Formats: sequence, C-alpha cells, structure tokens
Amino acid sequence: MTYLLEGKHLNKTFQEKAKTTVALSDVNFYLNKGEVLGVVGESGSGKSTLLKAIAGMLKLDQGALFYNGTEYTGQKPRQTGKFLQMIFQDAKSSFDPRMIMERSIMESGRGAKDPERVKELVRLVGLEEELLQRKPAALSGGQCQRMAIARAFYSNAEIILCDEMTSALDVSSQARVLELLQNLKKEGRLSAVFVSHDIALVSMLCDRIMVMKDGVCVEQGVTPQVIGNPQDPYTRILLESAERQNIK
Amino acid sequence: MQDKILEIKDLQIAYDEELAVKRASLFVERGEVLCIVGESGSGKSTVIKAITGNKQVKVKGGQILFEGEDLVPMKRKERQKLLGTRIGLIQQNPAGAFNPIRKFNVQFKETLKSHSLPFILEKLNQLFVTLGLKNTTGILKSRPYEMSGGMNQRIAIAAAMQMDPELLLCDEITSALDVTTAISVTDELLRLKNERGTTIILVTHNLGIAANIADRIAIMSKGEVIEFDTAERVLHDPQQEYTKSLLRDVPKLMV
Repeated sequence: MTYLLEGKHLNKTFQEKAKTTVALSDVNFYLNKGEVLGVVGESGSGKSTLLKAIAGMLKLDQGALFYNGTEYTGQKPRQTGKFLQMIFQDAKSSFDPRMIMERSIMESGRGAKDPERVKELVRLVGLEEELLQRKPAALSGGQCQRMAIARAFYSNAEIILCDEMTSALDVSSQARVLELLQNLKKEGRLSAVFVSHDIALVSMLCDRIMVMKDGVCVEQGVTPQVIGNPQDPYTRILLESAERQNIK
Repeated sequence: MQDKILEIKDLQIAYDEELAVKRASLFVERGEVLCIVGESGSGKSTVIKAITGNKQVKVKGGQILFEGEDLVPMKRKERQKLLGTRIGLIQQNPAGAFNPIRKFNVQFKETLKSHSLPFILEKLNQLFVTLGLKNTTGILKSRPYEMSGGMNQRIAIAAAMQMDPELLLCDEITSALDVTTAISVTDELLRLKNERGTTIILVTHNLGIAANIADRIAIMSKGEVIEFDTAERVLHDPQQEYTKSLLRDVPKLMV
C-alpha cells in the first residue's frame, strides 16, 4: 500500500565536540490522506528533528522518505515545498516583518498571484480580509497562526507539518486554532503531522499518535488505543501529567 | 481571622496614559497560593509589575497593601528594599534573569551580596533538595546556557528563594515548558508552600495549571478582575460566562 507520506528507518545524530546526541533512532511512520498524525514527547525527544527531516531541512544519517510512494530523501525545502508546508511555533517571526500579510502569503505560492484566493483562504481560517493589509507586528499571536495556516493552504501543499504551533498561544487562542483544524479535518482538507508536547491537545485532533522519547518512537497507534490502553511506561507518565491538568 | 499578606484594592494601572488595568481587587492570605488567570493582554502581568514597582507602569488609583502598608505612595528606595528579600519575582523566561555564560555560583553570590546577605552553602543545599534538584555543587559550577529550560526555571526559583522572601511572584513561569515539566515545577512550588510557608502568586493563562496548585483564583479579562474566589468555587461553580469558557478551553484527554 502506498501512503501519502512515509518514513523508513530514519536516523539522525548530532555531534558536538565529545557529546553525541541521538535525535532520531530508527523511526518509522506513515500518513494517509485526510489523516492527522500526532507526535508527542517532552522537549528534546526528537519530535522537531523528525519534522525538519521530513521537510528536508536537515540531512538524515540514514533512512528513506516517500511522498505518494516516490522517494524524495535528500531533497531540499525548495523541492519538498511543492507538497508540504511547515507551520512553526513562532508564527510572527515566520512572516517578513516589513511585508503586509497579503504579499507574504502570495509569495509562498508558485505561478501567478491570486489575491482573490488569498481572501477566500483568510475567510476560511476565520479572519477578516482587512487584516491582510497589516504587517505581522499588528496581529496577535493567534491571528498570525491562522495566517500561517492560510499561507500553507495557498501554496497548494498537500501535507502540513505543524511544529508546536499552539504552544506560544494562550489557552483560549489555542482552543480556537484547534477548532479550526478540527473543522478543516472534518471537511477532508487537512493531512498533517502535528507535533506537540501536550498529549491532551493531540488526543483532541489526531487519528494516530506517535510517542517519542530520546529520539526513539516508544509507542505508536490509533488515538483511543494509545490514550486508553498505553503500553509504554513513558506514555503513562505523559498521560498522568495531562490528567493532573484536567479539572475535576 | 484572615491574615492577608497582600491585598489589592480598586487598582488602576496605566502604560503611558492608557489604562491597562481598569479595576482590580484581590488578596492572598499568608501561606496560600493565588493564581491570576486570563488571556494574553488581560492585564495579569501588569498587576505583577505594579506590585514590584516596575517603572514601565504607573498606578493611577487604588492601593497595594503589603502586610497592611500601602506600597503605592512609598518612596522608591524603601520599596526597592522589599524586593528580593521580602518579595521575590520569577519571570517566564528564566534565562533572562541570568547572565548566560557565567557560572551559577558567581551569580548566586552576587545576588546575595547586593542584598548584604551571606552565602551559606548548607542553606542553599537544603533549598535545592526542597526543589528536587540533585547535585548542588554540580549545578553551581554550570552556566545557564548549558541547562534545559525546565532546569533553568528551577534554578531561577532557587535564586529567588535563597533570600527567603515571604511572598513569591511567578509570572507565567510554566508557559514555556512542556506539560510534564510544568507539572513538576508546580509541584516544587507546592513544596515551598508546605515546607516554608511561602505565599505564592502565580500568573498563568492555563486554568489547568491553576487547578493543580491554587487555593484562590482571580480571573482577569480586559483589565478587570471579573471573578475572585476560592479555587473550589471558581472551578466548580463559576459565576461568569468568561470563566466557563476558560474552563472549556483547557485541553482534555479524549479517549
């Protein structure tokens, strides 16, 4: 079976002087169309490295990446950008501070610029068209993050990679962005890898979950199984922390 | 009988001319944890700035009573004396409180020296143990840039607590941390409260964190304290629609 996106035996170590850090150790994953795959783990577990590797932003030591069954290992972001787009934690700094949003969004597309489509997408993410004439500094964190979603869609990329995209937002803005993603998913418009340290958040959006620790994928499965019947002790620790934030 | 270590009455605070806090009244009793909860821009950090006498903000009206004495009309020099030794502050970005490339022990000693306090390793050791930090000497020999965010935040708590303030102000100290680390940091604050009787005011946007630690909760929205009560009441019998929406927005595990 061909998946929309697949990674096989991904390995990456970082070498700094005498210190070796294993960021990815034989990680395997796949993503189907219309599906959201969650990747959870603490800081330093390798989840951002995984996204960067998928996007071609760093060179793997070993392993292979496939898009619709075709290998693309070793491609640079310029090439991978045709089918995948990344959304970062700090949305504000992912836009050029001197450009108005409309221009920033149109720059991400290939070919003719289409201001009408930009407006349409901005409405889709629940923002007012007028905000397109503003620069990033004049938008809130949550608004910028919505603009980043609009930009990712404008480029016609099939896959969206979200790296801690709500971590810098307050709980209320996070809830609104999450609602938006849930709706896009329901409409079948979203295929994404969603990286977050918050397993509760991931459980609300993702179909399947990967749990990472020290560069190793310790558990992988469909959401009800991972949340309801965790196999790895580390997953249980994450669930425990999340449960303690639940208001009884 | 209530023993209010800090009480704020009808406080109005401005940046330049515009009021950022229009009306805030709340208090915290000795040995309690008070959480101030609200969205970005609700004015919660501004309240903390007013308590510490930060020059960015101007109190336009109301009182800040610390042990019954109003801080607002107090002379700058007098106020400065309270900071550190009686009122401690920890901020969201712990690295901002330290010089990134100087060893912790130099920085700890400097802080103490500026308050004319002696450096007693034994005392600091005890504090580190309370905070769940092992290997005191190892930490003191390291530098902030070598540490993780969670570790630096714990060390920042130790740096503030080494002067043994009665009141510890924590401004969004868990927001930059992952969930597991955030929970362990709140556990450490609870230990400070239980073992040392420290009064804690924690500012957070996450009611989930507050639920884990607070005795009392103040909800702020658009520059006003709109709900203030015991944690029990705010979490289980919220009076304001806005508080209810904050409760709904906390991510919940879906099985």
